[in-house]
Amino acid sequence: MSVNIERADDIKRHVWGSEAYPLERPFPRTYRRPWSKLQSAWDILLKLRNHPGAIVGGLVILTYVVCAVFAPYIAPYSPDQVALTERFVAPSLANAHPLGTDQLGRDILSRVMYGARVSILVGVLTIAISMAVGVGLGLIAGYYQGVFDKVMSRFTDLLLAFPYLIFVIGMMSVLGPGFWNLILALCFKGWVEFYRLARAEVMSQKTCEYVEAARALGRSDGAIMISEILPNIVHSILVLGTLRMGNMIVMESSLSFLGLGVPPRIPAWGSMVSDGRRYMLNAWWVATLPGLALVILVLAINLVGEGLRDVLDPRLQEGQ
Amino acid sequence: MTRTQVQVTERIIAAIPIMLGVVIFAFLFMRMIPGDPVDIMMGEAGGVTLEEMDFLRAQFDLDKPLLVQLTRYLGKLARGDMGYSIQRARPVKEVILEAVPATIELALFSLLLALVVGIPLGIASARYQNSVIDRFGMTASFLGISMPAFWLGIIGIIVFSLRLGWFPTSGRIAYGMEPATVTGLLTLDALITGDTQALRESLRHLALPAITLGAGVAAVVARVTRSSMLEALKTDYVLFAKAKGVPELIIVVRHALRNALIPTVTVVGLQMGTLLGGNMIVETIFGWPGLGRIVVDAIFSRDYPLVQAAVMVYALTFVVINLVTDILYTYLNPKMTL
Amino acid sequence: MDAFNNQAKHNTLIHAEPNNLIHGGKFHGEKSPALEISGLSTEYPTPRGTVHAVRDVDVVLGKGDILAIVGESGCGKSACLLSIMRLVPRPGRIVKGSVKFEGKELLALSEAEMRDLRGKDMAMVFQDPMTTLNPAYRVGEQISESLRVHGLLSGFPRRLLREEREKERERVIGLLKQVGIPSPEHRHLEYPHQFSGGMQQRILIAIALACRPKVILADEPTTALDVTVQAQVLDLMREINEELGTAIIFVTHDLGVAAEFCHKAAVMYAGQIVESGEIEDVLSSPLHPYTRGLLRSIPQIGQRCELVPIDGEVPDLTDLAPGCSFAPRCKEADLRCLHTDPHLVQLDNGRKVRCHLYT
Repeated sequence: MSVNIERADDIKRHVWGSEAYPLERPFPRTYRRPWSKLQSAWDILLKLRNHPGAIVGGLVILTYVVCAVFAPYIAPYSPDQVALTERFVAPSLANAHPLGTDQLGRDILSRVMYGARVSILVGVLTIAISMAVGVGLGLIAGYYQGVFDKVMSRFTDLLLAFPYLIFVIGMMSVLGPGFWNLILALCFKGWVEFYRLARAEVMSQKTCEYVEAARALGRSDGAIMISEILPNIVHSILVLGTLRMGNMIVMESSLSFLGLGVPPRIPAWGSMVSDGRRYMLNAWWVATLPGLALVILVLAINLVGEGLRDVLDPRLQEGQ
Repeated sequence: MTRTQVQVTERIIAAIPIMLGVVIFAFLFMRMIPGDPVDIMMGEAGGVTLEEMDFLRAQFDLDKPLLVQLTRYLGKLARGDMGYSIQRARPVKEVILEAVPATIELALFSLLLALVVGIPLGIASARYQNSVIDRFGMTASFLGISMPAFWLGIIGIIVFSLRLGWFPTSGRIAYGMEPATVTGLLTLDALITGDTQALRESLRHLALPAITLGAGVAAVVARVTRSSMLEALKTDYVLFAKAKGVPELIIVVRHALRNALIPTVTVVGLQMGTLLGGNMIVETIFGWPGLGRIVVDAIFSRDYPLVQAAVMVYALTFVVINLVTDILYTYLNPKMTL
Repeated sequence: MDAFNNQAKHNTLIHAEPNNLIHGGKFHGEKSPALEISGLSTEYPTPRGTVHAVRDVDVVLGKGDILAIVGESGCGKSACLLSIMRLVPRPGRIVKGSVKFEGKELLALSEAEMRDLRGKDMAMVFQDPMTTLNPAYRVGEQISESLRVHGLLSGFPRRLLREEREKERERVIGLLKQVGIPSPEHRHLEYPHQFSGGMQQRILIAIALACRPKVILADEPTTALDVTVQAQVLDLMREINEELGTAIIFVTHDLGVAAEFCHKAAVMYAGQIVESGEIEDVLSSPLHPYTRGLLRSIPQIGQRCELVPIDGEVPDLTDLAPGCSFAPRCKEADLRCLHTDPHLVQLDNGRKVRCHLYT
């Protein structure tokens, strides 16, 4: 439709939106990187050493994940433990509730820890599903083009005509609050960006010599796609996935904030902020601290995403 | 017709099927509701007679085959009939038209803010790369893209409304004030009628919501402007302009910015999606009587016709905005016209 | 130690009595030079170390002369031109030397004075016209811009007046006609991408010519063009040189083009001028081993001789070893070449060479 983004570079520029691509010095795209030559996680970690932001971000994410997974063991209180005598305790490191308590006397720290479970789970699941669907369809559409590609392009154009949050809000209003409904609504549009990036990358890789060579050797289309092309585009996809995860988490909280996310009985950051709004005047911490937890996590994810982008996209390193 | 005009026409024609698709999507939206929508809606409202429920079913044509439903829906839409809001007991069209000016005002101010802050920040960061300005600008915009609107809005209220008392917490204008309306945009009306007090009040009410909504977009705009400016400043034509003896300021604005704006325009168009979505959140937080708040209300009262129409209006607006950016792109980039 | 002495003796035996050569030459420029460059050095600091892109360059450009600067890519030719215009992109900087334009020291000028001079007295033509013209503006606009910034046409508010617009149009069309663009009255309203490469290069030359500069610095202006178009552009530049007396520095890696078009030549290697003189002399009797190698590595029309490439690679300008920078690739190098950097030696007939063979 309207938006003029077709090339992989343009998509990345929009999605990653921050660095200059040296257009006059295009990276030679005739190299081949089989799965076995793919940078291992360890290599990537080693390269990330030079990105202090990414390291800090990684440590923060690790902390969050540990808190979320072991919340039942680490959290000082149960998230639903009501103590009406201890309502609105102000946050202080000295007392029993470091982040204070809310209108029902529940410990905010414990609730934030449990809230991390929803956010992280939603972030990981939606990205994983979107990535799988988008990349799969993108590979097929970019490789075969033809009718399938045309139909898919029209369909994605249509999905892209809806602003993301509005689309998800609309869907949730029909489906009703619920964890899996939320995942469905987020993924329903989430895969499109992965599809477009994968498709554009495949189309640019398809003309490379290594693909021609594989075809000349008589390898099947499926084998070429999975063992030849995919390793060469997986880095871009990973970077996009990381950068998008933050957005997904923000969107999940926004929906919970509106009361359209997970059911209200499950502690989620967005609904905690929403509940706290009523007490902003006297107890600022009830509304702000869960949100702060969210901001820190998203910041950390984006830092890692930017670090990965610098490490995994050689074109960018040249540009800096 | 010139080539440009041909291209613009082509783009407008290409947008028509998308718009039609949006409308059909919105139509299907009602049919996605599990169970009988009228039952669900009425379950909320309560105290409705069976006749009334039948009337509603007839209104949505739920008793007919899907294709007939669709054609009748399209026919009604063509006549400007968007259905009937159950909760408000008024035609949906009226409810939406009433709310739209407030939303437009908020969106325009946020966009203005985003451009006025984002573009100069991006230019300065690129021109003085790695300087203090660059570091500050990029840190701020990094925070900006990572911060959800609902949290920013609440921080704004706590700090600037409740603690400092600079801005009101909600509404469009001071309670009891009823300035004359011309366009529905209060600030514009106040300017037209010369009502300085109304202007001051409406701006005071606009400030926090507009900043909350515009901050994220400003951050993205700053980053894209910076990156495309960096690229543009490295080009041969900038060097050539220097060799021609063109002063620095003119080089930055006329030569580099002019070309750097091309990607910025595309991104601003896409960011309008964020702005429209964030609009719902921000209107809810600040009690802004616009479309976004009405939709959120309607969702909870299961006023599906209103939600359906509003989602459609948002999507169509987004399509039109992208069409406009595309046309702008055509004019900014002479290569497109060949 | 013995070996070293032997080698040195051997050298002097082969090239007997070099002294005659040194003192026999007379100073070349009778007319006062348009551009006099001496000891110009430019460095680029990079994370890996400082790149010495231009090292101690001495060049004299007489009025109305065409000087070729010849060398492989990456030898500092372009950096040299940019240094003359003081346009070295940051973080690069000129570390020492002097550039005199009609006796005026350019390196001492303020940025504003320098800006005044750029485009007006000294103009530049770049290698790739496609990227050098701003894609967003009509070519007429880009031509008149340099006239406007130098006050030869009215700037913004007055520019809107009808007679000013007419004047601007005439000047632009005149310039386009001068560089041989057909139907300039229509084409000045077109955008750069609507022109072919050769035409774009003509437009660049028109922009360079707009203010009637005394010197044009051309950075490989014909490299990106087809051979026939190349010849046309060269003819155009020769005409300009002959009719307007514009002095030209013509940077190229193509010795053939240099031979055909230029009066003088300076051969550049690793940021240094290694040999200079009248073009016929340099090409017919090259003195520096590098020049000889360069000539042997290109085919000559009408001769079937074996092409001999120069062995080895262009040195990394980041960490320069002491001694002559060509020594690692030079077949005639001896220990002295590896240890001490040769000076530029003035020879007969205005020729200069930077090689120990002639000291």
